[in-house]
Amino acid sequence: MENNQNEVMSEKEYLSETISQIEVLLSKEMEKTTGSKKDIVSAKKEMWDNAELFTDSIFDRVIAIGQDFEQIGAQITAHDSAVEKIAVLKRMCFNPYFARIDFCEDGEEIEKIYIGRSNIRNEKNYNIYVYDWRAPISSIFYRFELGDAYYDAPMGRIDGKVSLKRQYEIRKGQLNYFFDANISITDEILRKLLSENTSAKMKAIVETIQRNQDMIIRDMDNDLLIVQGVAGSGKTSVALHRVAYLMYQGLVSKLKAGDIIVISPNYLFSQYISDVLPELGETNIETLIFEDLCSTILAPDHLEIQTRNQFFESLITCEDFREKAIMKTSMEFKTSRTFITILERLIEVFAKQMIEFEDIYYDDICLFDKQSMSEFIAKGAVKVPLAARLKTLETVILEKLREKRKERIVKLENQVCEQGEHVLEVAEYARMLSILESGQLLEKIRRFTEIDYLKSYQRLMQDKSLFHQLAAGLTLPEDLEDILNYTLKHTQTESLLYEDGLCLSYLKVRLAGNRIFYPIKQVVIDEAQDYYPIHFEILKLLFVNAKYTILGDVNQTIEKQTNLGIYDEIAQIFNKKKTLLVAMTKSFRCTDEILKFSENFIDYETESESINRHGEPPKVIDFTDLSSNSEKFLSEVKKSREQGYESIGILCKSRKEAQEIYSLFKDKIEIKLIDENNIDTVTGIFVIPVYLAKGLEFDSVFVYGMNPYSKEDEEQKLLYIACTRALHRLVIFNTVH
Amino acid sequence: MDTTKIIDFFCEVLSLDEITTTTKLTEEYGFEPIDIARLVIASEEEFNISIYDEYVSLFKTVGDLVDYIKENLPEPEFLPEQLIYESSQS
Repeated sequence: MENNQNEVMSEKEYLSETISQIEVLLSKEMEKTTGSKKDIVSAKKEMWDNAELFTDSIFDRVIAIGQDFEQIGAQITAHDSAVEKIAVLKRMCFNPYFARIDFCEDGEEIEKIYIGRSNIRNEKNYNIYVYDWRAPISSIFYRFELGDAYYDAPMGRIDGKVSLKRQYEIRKGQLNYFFDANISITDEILRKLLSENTSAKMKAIVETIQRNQDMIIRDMDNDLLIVQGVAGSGKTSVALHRVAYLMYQGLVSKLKAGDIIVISPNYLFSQYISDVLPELGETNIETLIFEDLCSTILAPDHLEIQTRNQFFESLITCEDFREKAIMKTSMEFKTSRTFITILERLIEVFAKQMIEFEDIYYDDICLFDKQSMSEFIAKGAVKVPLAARLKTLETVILEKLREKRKERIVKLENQVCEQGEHVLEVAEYARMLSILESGQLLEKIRRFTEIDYLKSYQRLMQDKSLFHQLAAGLTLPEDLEDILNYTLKHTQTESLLYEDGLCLSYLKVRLAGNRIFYPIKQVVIDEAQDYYPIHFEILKLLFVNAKYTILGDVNQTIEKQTNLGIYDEIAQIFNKKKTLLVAMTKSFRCTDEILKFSENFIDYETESESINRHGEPPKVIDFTDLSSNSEKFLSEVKKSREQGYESIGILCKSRKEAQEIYSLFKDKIEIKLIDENNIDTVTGIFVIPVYLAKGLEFDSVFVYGMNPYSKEDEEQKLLYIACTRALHRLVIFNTVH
Repeated sequence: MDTTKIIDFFCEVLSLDEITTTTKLTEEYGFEPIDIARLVIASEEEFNISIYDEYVSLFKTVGDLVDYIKENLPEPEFLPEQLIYESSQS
């Protein structure tokens, strides 16, 4: 694009001025940490010499500070750290800003607003060289074209006019080019960026945030923000940029990194997104998966729980039709609001019906009888969790016991004397007897002062009359009997079913309370369509004081029937004062052809539109079996590589199938099998089960083991998820006829 | 209070050697029930603490008992003589 020579000159001048300013700030920060000027000069030289190394993420990896989950809340504020500031400034030296708007506030002079990843200002004259993309004024860039515009400043709305919108490509501190927009130029840059290959990990998208994405990122009005976004609409990016925005806002509202938590569907996904926040200058944000919450809750009870992915794997690979049906209904029922009502009723009668108090005798005296214990518990404040009330009861009993101990020891000493065997060590032998009997007594007391959650849960499944008493008036599934037996059978094995882990977590939080997560102020949940009501109920119990951002796509579930109703249910559960549901309908990931093809597999409840990027039409290749057609398969995969696609995903139904493909091809091409715990990079050829690939993307996708002609619901859902992972090329190998 | 000092004290009481925090308080490792009673009585005197009998059976290892003693040690009192002694030493 041609630029006026003078404009180019002045832009170059502004760039070098800005970089000098950043260098001044950088020196100051480095002085704080290293203290020696000489070191700084050499460090700076080294930095520019090694410009190649300073891709956006390197520094952040160095400074990434592990955060102990137990100590949330006691973390230092990210923005206080000089080390972090240095990392941000170093990155800014190479790419100080990406856009400029000329904004004329009503009645004022035109101001040039340069927008970058962080604020850069001259500390002496307070000139602002670069505005943080999250600053209120920067929102104009994302939301308005030339002409009338406004932004919401802390003191109120500021109206004005935009007379210029400009975007830059700056690499290693050099201005490559810039162009002005009178239409939404972000689209042009966006299309250029989108046509590029995907990278190993998700990247920041500050340059190309869309208007409606920006609205979500900057929303501060709602306590519960729900986002329905079609595949490839940038839900996760938006979620992460929103976290960065909340942190920026947090400078004012004193939000610390430890106050935000991001809940992602699995570890693979957590790793995939792990670069984005550091790239945006935010570290120390805790990302965890739901199972982590359950293990934190159930850790002291030594319960092993199946992960969600293990559940998917066993469901998808289950060949027994009946068992598969029970697996589904068991999951659906025990995670439903009906079952939560049953659990709530259980909690209500817990003290009376589930705890078997026993009279406690010591030295032939009744310290506490059953009746008084039951009354003691009933009298306790309702707000105090039952487990805590029981612990108080234990203390009271033990205190009574200790009052009587002296007398008891005297009696025991007499006994030892009478026996005449240990006359030289009477006190020691009497103490030994006391230790033994007191130990047994404590064991007896703890049988009712410590709740055995698993045992209570098993009783609920086993004691049919109890179950029906609690379920009175509720609509129960037809195969209830099967579900109860199936559950009971599994609670007796070493590893609990995923849904039972959820139910026990719920039960325990309600009976024992949990204050670990009280300080959390913001919770961001991705892939929310995979969660059931019980997940949200648990979250509500754990993060009592938090605001929520919940993102999902109702079309991307595997085992369950989901429609837009799930969002109403979520809103009902959280019952927040201000709730907003936003839809993101534009898909940025796939070509038009891939998007249209994928939509064959879903019902049209949600609309979606593409970005108008075209590519090779998806194709279906039918063959009888893989082993005799492996050459054909390989040649297609190789073709993608020849076309320059760096990340190639072979998507299968299950881990078992992925393993088969891996074994078949591992000696013929360089291929990696992805499981939950390893993902260094997604450049190369990968085999991965679909349920793990949610949220990820590949330049080229090969779908194997799914039948595109099938009308079966589960098959179609898997296909939709698999197909929408592809950016440029999609091939389906169909072996099922 | 140093863990080693407490363990040394245990060894002295029971005439044992080579026990660590992970040594189990079972007969197999040389701890008869009477030894444990002896240890409890001696520790109460030595460290000026009370050990509740009902908790003793919860101690599975030497370390558990050491931890209990450490947690229940009386708050160090301010001893002016000691302070004067220490400052005159330095």
